[in-house]
Amino acid sequence: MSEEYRELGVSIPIGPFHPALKEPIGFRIWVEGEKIVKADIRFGHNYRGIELIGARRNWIQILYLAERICGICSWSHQFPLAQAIESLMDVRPPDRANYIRVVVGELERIHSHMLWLGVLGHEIGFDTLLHLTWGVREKVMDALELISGNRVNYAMATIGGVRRDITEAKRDILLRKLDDLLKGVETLRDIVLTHKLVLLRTEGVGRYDRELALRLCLQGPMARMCGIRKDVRQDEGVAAYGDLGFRAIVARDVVGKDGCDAYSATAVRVAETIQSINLVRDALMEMPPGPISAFPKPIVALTRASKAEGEAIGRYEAPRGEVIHYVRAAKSDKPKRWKVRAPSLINVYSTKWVFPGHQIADAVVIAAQPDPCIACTERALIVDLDRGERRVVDHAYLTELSRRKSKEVMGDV
Amino acid sequence: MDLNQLLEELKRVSGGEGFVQDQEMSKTSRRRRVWVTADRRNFRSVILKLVEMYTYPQLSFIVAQDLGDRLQLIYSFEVNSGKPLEAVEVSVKVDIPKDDPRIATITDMFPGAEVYEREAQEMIGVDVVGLPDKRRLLIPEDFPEGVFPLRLDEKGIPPELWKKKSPHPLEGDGNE
Amino acid sequence: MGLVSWIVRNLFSRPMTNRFPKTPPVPVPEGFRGKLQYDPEKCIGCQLCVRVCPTQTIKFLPEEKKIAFWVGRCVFCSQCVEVCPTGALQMSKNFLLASDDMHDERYMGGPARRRGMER
Repeated sequence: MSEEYRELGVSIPIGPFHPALKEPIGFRIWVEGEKIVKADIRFGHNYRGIELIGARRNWIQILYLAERICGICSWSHQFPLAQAIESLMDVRPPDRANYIRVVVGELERIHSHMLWLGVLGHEIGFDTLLHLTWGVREKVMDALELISGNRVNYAMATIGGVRRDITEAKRDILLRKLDDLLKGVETLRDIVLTHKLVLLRTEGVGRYDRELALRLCLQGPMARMCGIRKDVRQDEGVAAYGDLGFRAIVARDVVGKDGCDAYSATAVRVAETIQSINLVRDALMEMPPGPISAFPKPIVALTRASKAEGEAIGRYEAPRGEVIHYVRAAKSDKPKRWKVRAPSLINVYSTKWVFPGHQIADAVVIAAQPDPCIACTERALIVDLDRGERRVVDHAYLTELSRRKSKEVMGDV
Repeated sequence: MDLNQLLEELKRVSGGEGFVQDQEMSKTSRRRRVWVTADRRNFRSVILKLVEMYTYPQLSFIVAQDLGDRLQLIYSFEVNSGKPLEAVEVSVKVDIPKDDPRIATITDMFPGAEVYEREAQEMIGVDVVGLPDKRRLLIPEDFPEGVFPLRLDEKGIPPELWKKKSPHPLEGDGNE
Repeated sequence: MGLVSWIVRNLFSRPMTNRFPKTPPVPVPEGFRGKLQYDPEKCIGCQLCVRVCPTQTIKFLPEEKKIAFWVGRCVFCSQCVEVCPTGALQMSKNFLLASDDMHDERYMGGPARRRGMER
């Protein structure tokens, strides 16, 4: 690669370790003056070979391995795997379990989107936003702790249902917490979508177009910001989303147009957070009584799963997009093949097509726009400093550059 | 379109086998999957057929696996996306012989497939013909050439690569 | 409430987090999964916990028909507690498990003779 790239001139590595990136991934951008002409992404720094490890665990054990693929979307990996195993065994979870699944999933979405919003604020030098959003996020973490016992890694999903019930007392506390939360998030929405700095730094930055998004098969909020009304919760109605009549939100529902840029992505995520709060409330109110799992004990589920044979796919809409798990079984207590596809894989990779044409100072916003979750993607990038002409730019400088641009654009108005 | 009709339509193009999974998930929603096998030579026409029938089927992922006597790639597409409770996941299975592990790329139809094909290439050692970027994606550059982590035969990870003693072993760990 | 009024109000409110370990920790919720507790008296040696443990923390001792475990590997999923037919395994509320010695006495559980647990 070196010969061809050397002609392109100055290259700047962002990552693998960089304040703009919460996890190791390597972006490498080639610039002419301030303009980016080419970008490359390399994954692999966080590769743990989980799919191979999973083939040595039994069906109950890999549920907890799947949960630890990612710290933010722990439910979002455990749930589709549980679904895939249910599909293998042809088991239908009871209705109450479906509603509890919605509650946990949506609470996780709220905290993930709030985290992302704070990170965006940090990237563009709006640290007040970071502190406010993470303050609001604490309330969601408390709610999750109330339901599951722990703040992260809830260990809630199991084959055929969920592991803990939401009692009447817990439900009342949750409903009170949600009112509080809704007030905070609505204020944040009003601040973020109208704030001058956010508008200047995100509008027109990281611009895709609808055609490109469809051809690249983007997932989650990245597709919805381009006006593609695609959401597994809506299309397949996983858990109780079908019963609750869920409909996906696209950018034009929130801000009137599909901007396909970082501003639309922000709008979609903020609107989804509010939608999620309402969904949790609906799910809590409409939750039917009954059992919470199709099997009395996990060991029964394990025994039943060990007799299953064939292939199955489990899907769920994680905060970042569609998570897909594929399992193949052959009448054994271990999967023959377990494949995980996290949405960040394609969402992060797609930025390669979007970087060219932007300024260096916008690079961190573009890198943060898909909400890169590297642990999910199981990949990251090594920047080889020996290749090509290079200017070693340390991360502090790059963030400084982004912040300076913020100051400049604010000065213009 | 009815699932069985869709399956028949795809089977007609591919000349392979297939089956339908249609399971109830909750009161209103069903889990719909269509599995169809295709040949290495005509799997692209099956995918083209899907593109014809539904504008922009969304590529979900490509599973690369070693079935012992042969390799297999599963191209999985979501069709009817955007229509509430109507999505169908169509999976096209393509077998590849181990002595000639070559397959054509689909990046001309789906540029986003590049990332999945690069992964398949390094994980089980298929050669994707026509892939624009053939570098490794996940495994590091100093990883030995010709070793493919998810291969179950002699091209998989040799024992000397992983046989290291665990820093905190338990008896009967299988890790000694 | 606007941005400025929120910030001004935050100046006079307590921080969202507490200054642990300088202050005592916040109380843990009901159903918290802390360190595993084991009662060898109740154990009948059915090995169900060994089968479901995701990290293979639990080891079966065939002579005593009891189990031994090392919490250093535990992921606190409480799956073993759920499958235990006699309630010999319980999750405590103890989460203060940090230590600079990985063979610390409080990481060990089960009968005194913990073969294979020591280096």
